[in-house]
Amino acid sequence: MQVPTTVREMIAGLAARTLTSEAILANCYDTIAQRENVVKAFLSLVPREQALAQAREIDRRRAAGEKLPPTAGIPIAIKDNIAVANMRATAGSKMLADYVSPFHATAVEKLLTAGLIVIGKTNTDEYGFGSSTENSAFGHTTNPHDPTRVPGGTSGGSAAAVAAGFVPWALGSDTGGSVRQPASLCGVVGLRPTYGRVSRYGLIAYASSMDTIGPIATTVEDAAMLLNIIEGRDDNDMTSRDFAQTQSPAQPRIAIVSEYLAPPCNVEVAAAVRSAADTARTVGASLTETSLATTQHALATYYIIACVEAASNLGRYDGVRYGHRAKDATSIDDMITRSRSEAFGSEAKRRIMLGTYAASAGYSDQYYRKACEVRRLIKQDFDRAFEHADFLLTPVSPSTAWKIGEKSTDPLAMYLADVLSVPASLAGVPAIVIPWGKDANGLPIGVQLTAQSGNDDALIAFARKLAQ
Amino acid sequence: MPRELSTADIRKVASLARLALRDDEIEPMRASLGAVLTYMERLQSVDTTDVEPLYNVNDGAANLRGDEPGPALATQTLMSIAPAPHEASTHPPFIRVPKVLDESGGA
Repeated sequence: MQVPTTVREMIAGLAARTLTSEAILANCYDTIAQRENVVKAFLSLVPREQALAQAREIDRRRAAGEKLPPTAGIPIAIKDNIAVANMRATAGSKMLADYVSPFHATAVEKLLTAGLIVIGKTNTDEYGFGSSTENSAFGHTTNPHDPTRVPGGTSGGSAAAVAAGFVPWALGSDTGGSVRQPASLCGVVGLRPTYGRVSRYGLIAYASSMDTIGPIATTVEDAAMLLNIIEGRDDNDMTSRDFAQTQSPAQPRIAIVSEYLAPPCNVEVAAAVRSAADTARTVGASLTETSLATTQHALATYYIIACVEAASNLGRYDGVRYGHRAKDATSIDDMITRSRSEAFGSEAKRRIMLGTYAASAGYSDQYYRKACEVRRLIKQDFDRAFEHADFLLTPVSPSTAWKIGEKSTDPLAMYLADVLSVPASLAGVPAIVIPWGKDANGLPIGVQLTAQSGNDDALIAFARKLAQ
Repeated sequence: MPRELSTADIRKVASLARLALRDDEIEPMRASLGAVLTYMERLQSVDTTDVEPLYNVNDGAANLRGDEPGPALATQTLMSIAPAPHEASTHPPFIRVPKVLDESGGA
C-alpha cells in the first residue's frame, strides 16, 4: 500500500478504502526507525505497537461503517510545551523533566475529537527560549536537509518531524517566530494564526501576549485543515475568539517591505522573495513596495516584552506543587531558589534576569513601558500598510539554516536571527511561511505572507494559490 | 549608553528573580546582559510622546466566562504530580514544604 505524503491524499485514501490508518502509521514508524537517530525530533515517542493498535481500531470501526471524522487515523506530533494528558510535557526544561500532564490542552482535545493519533512529543528550546532548538535540556535536533545544521526553533522538533516525513502534521507554538522560522529552515509550511484564534490553554506559558499555537505541514492546504480543527473560542483562554470567514480578493494587492530585504537579510533569501513576488503577479496579484519604518525597533521591543512576561510566567516554578524540587532545603526560600537555579538552563536564567531587570523599580519605565509604547507604533505601522495592501510578502529568516554551534555562544547573535519574525508577533497578525526554493547549499528558503488580524482564511487562500 | 552593570547589580537582580548564580555564572551573565541592554538602548531614540503602551493586541477586550463552578482536576490527580505529597488519612491531602516561619515567628 503506497502511503501518500499529504493529509489531503491520506483522507481521500481512507475514505476510498484504498488506504488504512495502520498503513499510514506503519510508514511513519518505519521512517522514524530509519532517520530519528540522526534527526532527533522527538523527546517522547508513543510505542509503535500502541499507536498501531489505535490505528487498527479506527480502521475496524471505519470498515464497519461507523461514521468517523474524515481525519480519524491521521498521525500527528505535538511540541513538548503543549499538554497531552498522561504524556510528559517538558517544554525542553530540566524543570519539567518528569512532569506528566494530567490534562489535555484545548487544541489537543480538539485533535483527539477529530480522531487524530498523537505519536509523540517534539523537541524545543527550553520554554521556547531560542531560535535553533539547541537550548533544549535534552539535546539538539538536526535539520533533515543537513544533519550538521540547526532545524531552527523553537518548534525545531515539530518542523524537522514533518520535513523528515515522520508525520504529515505537527503542532508547534510561535511566540516570536517559533513556528514560522523552523518551517522556513526545514522547507515546510508553518502558520502563525491571528493571536487569539487558537486557545493557549495547555500551552506552557512563555510570553502570554504573543504565545500562539500553530500548525506545521507539508502543504498550505494541510496546514489550513489543521488550523480549522484547533481554532475557536475557549472558556479556558480569555484571549481566545471566534473569527468570521474571510476570502482572498480575486486580485489581491501584495506589498514587498523594503526594510525586510535589506541586510541582515542575505541575497539568496531576498532573491527568493522577489521571485515569489513575480509569481504572485502571474496569479493575478498587483505588486507594490511599502515601508515599515518601525521594523528596526521590533527586535529590541520584542525581547524586552517577551523577557518581562517570561520572568513573570516562570515565577510559578517554585518546586512546591510540581516540577523539580531541590533536595534537603533548609528553608522555603532556600528550596525555591535552589530548585530554580538547579533546573533552569542558562538561556532561561538570562531571560528571567533580563525580564526582572527591565521590569524592576527604576527601570520599568525606561525599558518595559517604553517597549510597550513602541509596540503600539509597530502595530500602527502594520495597520497603515494594510490600508494599501492585502498581504505583505517578506522573508521570515534572514538566512537559511546555520551550522550547529555557530550562534550558541553569542546570545545577541541568536536573538538577531528573529529580526524578521518578531514584528508580526508584536502586532498579533497572522503569517504563513511557504517553501520557496533552495540556496546554493541546497538548503530550503521560505517566504512569509502576512495579513491583517482575523484575515487568516484569506491569507491561506492566497498562499495556496502562490504555492501552486 | 546604559549604565554599566556591576557584579552587585547582577546579584541583586538574581535575588529578585529567586536565582542563585554560581560565581562562575556571574561574569558571563553580566557581559551578556550588558550586550543585550546596549542593543535595547536604540528604543530610547524613538519618539513615543502621547503614545499609549500596547500591552496586549486585544487591548483590554477579553472573553470572560460566567463566574460559575465547573469541572476541575481531581485533588488526587494534582497530588500525584506534586514533589512531596502527604496523604495521611487523618488530614486532607497537603504538600510538604520546608519550614515557612522562622523561630521568631516572622516569615
